[in-house]
Amino acid sequence: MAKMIKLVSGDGAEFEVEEEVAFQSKIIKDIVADADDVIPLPTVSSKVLIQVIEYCRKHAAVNSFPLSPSSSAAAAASSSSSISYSKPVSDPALRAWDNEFVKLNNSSLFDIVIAANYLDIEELVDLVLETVADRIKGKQAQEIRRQFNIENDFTPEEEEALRRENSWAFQNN
Amino acid sequence: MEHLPVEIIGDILSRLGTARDVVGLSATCRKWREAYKKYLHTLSFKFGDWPRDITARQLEILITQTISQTVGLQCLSIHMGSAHEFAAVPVIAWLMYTRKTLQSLSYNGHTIPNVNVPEQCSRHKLQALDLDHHSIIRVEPTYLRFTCLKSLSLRHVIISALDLSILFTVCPRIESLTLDVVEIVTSDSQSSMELSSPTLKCIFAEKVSVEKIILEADNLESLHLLNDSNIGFLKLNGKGSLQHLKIDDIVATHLEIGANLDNLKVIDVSYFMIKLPKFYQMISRASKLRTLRLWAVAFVCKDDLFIDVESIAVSFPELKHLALNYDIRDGLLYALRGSSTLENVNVLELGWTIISDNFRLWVFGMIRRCPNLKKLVIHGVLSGMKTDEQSQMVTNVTSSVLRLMRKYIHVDVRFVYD
Repeated sequence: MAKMIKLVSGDGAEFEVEEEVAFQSKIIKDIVADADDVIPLPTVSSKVLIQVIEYCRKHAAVNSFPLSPSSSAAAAASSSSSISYSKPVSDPALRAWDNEFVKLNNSSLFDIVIAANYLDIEELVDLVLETVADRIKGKQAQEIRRQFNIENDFTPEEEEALRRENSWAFQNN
Repeated sequence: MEHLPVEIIGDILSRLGTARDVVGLSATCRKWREAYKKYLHTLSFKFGDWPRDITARQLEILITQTISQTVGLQCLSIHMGSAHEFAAVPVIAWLMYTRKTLQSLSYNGHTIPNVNVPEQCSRHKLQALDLDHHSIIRVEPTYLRFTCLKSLSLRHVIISALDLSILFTVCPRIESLTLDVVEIVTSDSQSSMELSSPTLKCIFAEKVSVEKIILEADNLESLHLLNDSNIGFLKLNGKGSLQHLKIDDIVATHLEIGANLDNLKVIDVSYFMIKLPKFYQMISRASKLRTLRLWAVAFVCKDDLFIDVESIAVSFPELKHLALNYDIRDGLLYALRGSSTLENVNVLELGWTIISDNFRLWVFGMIRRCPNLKKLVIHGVLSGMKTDEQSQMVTNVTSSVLRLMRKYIHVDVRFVYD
């Protein structure tokens, strides 16, 4: 019988998950080593916790069967030499699942990444941030403010100075 | 969005891929500006992001300005190609400014006068270095070591064999080496290049010319020699760690990969001229081989018999993927001799460069020897077709194979004609 861990969301709901699923979160892994099997997560709502658990469940199943050494050697040989902050998931089926998983609106994605950051689930943080970065590539500040409802808190003089000093970044090609 | 911590915004900006986007979006609001200034870890300048009429001097100012507004950069990438030449002073300034935190540097550009880039980087922080520019790399001073460098990539450089060996001794943790269009200069007193590294895992060499290489690499897992490389003599002294060997379009008169091939899973050889018996004797020790590809290989000795399916079945019982393409016109009977089957082969790829009726017979014979086949791919080259007769033969062979494969309904059949 797999060991179960209880996660309690901010609004008091309890979720029982298998140990290996919960251990996708480095924080939880460390806490459980010391003490309880009941972990309160006051900053994470039930809605977000359900989504995070779904991701962890899917990736726990895959992580228990590590890549064969030959594929990782071949992958290392063909990859670029710079350190990449986004380690792409190599299993195409899992990648496809991840792509479906992040088909959410920006607000939901931000909630998930805040929770994943708090729980230290590196792969999930990576996945969401890559997705967000893709959504904003090639856009101008004005568009981003509209898209994410961000208030422009620069004074007109500050903004003018910024654009002038870095004019190359604000020209339309 | 308001709840996202500023470090995460910095992380998002770091993934944007170009400095232009990063700076442009830093004007979104104060938090984003702060993210750019304090939490940006990756910055990348690429040729093509700039208006065509920009001068090198303007670019230098721009890059200096952008980099100096950041703090704590970990990955820096400047790819200018041959379009611009930077002066040494700004380049050195960029490297000195980022020295304390930089872990990964990718620099592709000309500098006048030449800057010895490795010298400007932190010996204790740098993990990955990718240099691409026509210049000579010297390693000085030789007593200081790059204690963290794992990945080294040199493209379009000229380096002496001695300096390359020294580079290895000053990188005690190196795991991956990429050489692309590298000219290795040897002197009379040192005609061979000796590289020694207990940590090296992958070597990727493309368009490299060197007379003789001796590799001492006990943990080497992957060796790729590609694309017009000219290597007279290559000897790998290892402990049987090699898993992946790929040779494509090179000229090599002597190749030795060690006696212990227990971990070798993939052998991929193409456009290579080989002394068959010697080569085959060498690779036949790889009893755990999963993938074997011998593609457009030519035999040095015209009388060499072909690698036959019997030898393959006996030497490589765990083989799953087999790809063969060589001139089968004369050696068909020998190629199909024996009766051992390739029990584990799921994928079979057979190719012709000059079509003949023997090819059809070879396909039929090979299929009979693969009882668990799931996928068959036939490759052909159409661009060399000169006569109607040849075209007709292609049609005949294709329809013949299709007819045969109707019996094998579980096999997925593809034709790839270039």
